[in-house]
Amino acid sequence: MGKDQDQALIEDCRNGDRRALGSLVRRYERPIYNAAYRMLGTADEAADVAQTTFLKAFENLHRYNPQYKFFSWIYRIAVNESINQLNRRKRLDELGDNEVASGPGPDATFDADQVSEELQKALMTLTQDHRAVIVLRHFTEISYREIGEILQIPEKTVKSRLFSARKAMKAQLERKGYTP
Amino acid sequence: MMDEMDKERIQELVQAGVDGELDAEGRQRLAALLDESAEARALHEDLERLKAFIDRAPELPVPDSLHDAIVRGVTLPSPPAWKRWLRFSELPGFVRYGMAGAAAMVLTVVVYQAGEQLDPAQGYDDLVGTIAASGPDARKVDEVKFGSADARGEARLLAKPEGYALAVDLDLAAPTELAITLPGEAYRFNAFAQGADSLSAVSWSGNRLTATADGKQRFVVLLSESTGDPSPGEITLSLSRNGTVLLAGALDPSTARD
Repeated sequence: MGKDQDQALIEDCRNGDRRALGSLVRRYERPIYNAAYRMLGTADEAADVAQTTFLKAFENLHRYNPQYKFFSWIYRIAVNESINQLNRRKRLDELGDNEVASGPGPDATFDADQVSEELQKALMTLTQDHRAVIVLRHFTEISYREIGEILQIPEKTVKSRLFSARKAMKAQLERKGYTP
Repeated sequence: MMDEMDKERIQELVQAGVDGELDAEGRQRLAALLDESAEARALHEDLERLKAFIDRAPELPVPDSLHDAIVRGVTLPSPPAWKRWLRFSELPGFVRYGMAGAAAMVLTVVVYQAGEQLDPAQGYDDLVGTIAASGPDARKVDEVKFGSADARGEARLLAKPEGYALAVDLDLAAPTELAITLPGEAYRFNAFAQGADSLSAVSWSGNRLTATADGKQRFVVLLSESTGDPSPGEITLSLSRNGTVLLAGALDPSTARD
């Protein structure tokens, strides 16, 4: 993402330019929505979180430090909003149907939509911390350092947390009959 | 047998390799490790397979209404008074057209004075009143329309007594590089005028004009024939972002000769 372009758009937004606002929203709405969806698992909640994320980001634009990348800042808001939303939700029954091995078995082939669905189910079994690192790494493709900035944890912790999250994810998929 | 410390280091190195986080020296260390350790190879394969599995999940489309809902919900600070005066689209119509005309005249004059190959004698005064390059003496030769989620527009090629007018309307969601390429030496750029908003980084050299555009843009490029080649080829227009071509189209001036 172009840091300079973001800074120019933010400056224009600070001067009340709604066209710059439209450009900035267009640039980040998709990754923010996707990250929120992968954190939450439902389209409606993901849309709500995406909207809240942008509203909070622009309400607090005066607090944004241009030394940092805009996307780190807005992803941090998105991840925190997703976690808040999860906390508001009733705790999921982790011993529900999802624990039953109902996948297609190791030799089956499955299309992208099935992968997406099974992946989402597996993600939802992870802890919030594990889910956040997987989502940031795989669905927004940002570096360990940037993940650390967003989650406000050391890079070393990002690495170890990501490794544990992947292990848990793999085990979950295998329990369901997938062999990633 | 690896001790816990070794195991942790190996996991970190292998995972960083899968995530593309290693520099050249790290990649060499990983290659050496994979050569000598079956355990590291198995871990590498596991992580690669999990990554490939996750990567197969498609990116989810954003709901249609989300963009507007976000933009409508955001309140921005009021622009400074002097900027409000320059907010073209909010001005009354007669002021807008007057300003557009004046801007076009100024730009055209600047171009005439700046370019060696420009010929004031050709008289493009009509550009002042016809930002869209229309007029009783203009005949549409070809047009191309393009549209995607965040880049829409159209380009019309009009034949005029003194040459061609290429009128371009764009509606872009993000800064986009624009390039117009003329076929060989058959045509040359004569003048350029723009409407409400301005392109940035406009430059032309030889048979190529480039600029950066964002939001709604309207501009006209005047061309004249320079070689009389009967089949010079097409005028191409392309839009790209970060080096990736988003849209490209071609306009054929040859039908104007019929």
